[in-house]
Amino acid sequence: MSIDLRRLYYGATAFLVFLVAFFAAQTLADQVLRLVVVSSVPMSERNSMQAQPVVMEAPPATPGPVGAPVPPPTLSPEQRAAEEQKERARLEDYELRSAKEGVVSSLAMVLVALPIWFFHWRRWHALTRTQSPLSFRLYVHALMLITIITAVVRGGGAVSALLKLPIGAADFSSRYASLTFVQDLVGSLLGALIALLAWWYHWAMVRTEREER
Amino acid sequence: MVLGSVSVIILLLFPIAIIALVVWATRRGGIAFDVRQTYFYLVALVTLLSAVFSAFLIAGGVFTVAFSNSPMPPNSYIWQQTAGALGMLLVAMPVWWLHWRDARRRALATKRLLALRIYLYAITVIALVTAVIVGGIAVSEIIKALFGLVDFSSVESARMFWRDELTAVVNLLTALLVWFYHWRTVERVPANEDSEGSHA
Repeated sequence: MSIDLRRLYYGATAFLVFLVAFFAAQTLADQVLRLVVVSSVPMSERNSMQAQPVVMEAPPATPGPVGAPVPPPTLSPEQRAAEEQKERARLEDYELRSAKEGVVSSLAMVLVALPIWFFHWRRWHALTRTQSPLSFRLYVHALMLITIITAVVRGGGAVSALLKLPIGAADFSSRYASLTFVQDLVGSLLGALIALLAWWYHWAMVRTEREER
Repeated sequence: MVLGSVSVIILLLFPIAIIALVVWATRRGGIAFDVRQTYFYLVALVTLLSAVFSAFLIAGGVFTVAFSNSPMPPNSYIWQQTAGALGMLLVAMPVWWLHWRDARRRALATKRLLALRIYLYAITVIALVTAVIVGGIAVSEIIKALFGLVDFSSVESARMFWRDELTAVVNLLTALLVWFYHWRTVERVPANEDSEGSHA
């Protein structure tokens, strides 16, 4: 019983951690491309793409007494700090920052998950190859199913991006829009490639196991 | 946030639970289980369903564009959605065909046909239920028109009626095509088979 539990632990951990690493790698590919696009287009150019704010007509100013100087508004230190915070937030490029954070967090996830997966996968493989080939085959085919479906979804995204060209649904109105289109296309292709690599790796494992039998 | 994390954990634990259940059942009950064949059936099932529902989206998109009052700009949501569905269809169909062809060939070669029958009947049931639902939509539109519940005096209402009706009819034909193909295939599966049908 203890041997079974140990095997279950290695298999479950390898399975879950692989999925975490796999989807983190997908996110990483997307985020890297996003970062490339966002960092290559200045914030002002990107913001000009977004909806123009509605211009409200200013209410008529209350006329002050002629000739009397208008005293500057006096702000408390807390109010001044809040105003400065607002100004900094206005100037900060949140898109660039979130793209950087996305790259860092997904890269960290891949870097942490991959060694843990490899450690558990090796032991799981060694345990099941001799003792429970059925568990091994179930594990590998379950991952093959998930990776091939991911490849289909990401590949479908790439083909749909290409199909937007002939029907004119692709937006090339500015450099930023063109780069975003390329980012979508390349991101989907990369995602499909990662998924196909993962599928191929597990397929090769099954093939090797079958040949060894 | 917490609910999302819990659902992700449940989703991740679900395949592990299935694997554990299959291993346990195999050992306890002596059931033979062909993992590879099951993988082929599952991929074929998922890709076929993706392709069918993409076809539904394409039909909806095409008729929405055809029956719209004013020409839709190419970057509108409906064009984007149609392009996405068409991309999915174009990728899913070859993957479905490759997996389905291999699964059928292998099942016929090994004469283990129970799993093949289960797969084919599952698809026919899904396709038939889908056909009933979309057929119901098509018929209800017609009944609404017969009872004067559709306002044909307005061009907009008439356009919407024809858009919904034609979309439902095309979806019905698609579902019936899928049903017919699988029904005909299961009818042609030879009768002789072993008792279990899938072995490791």
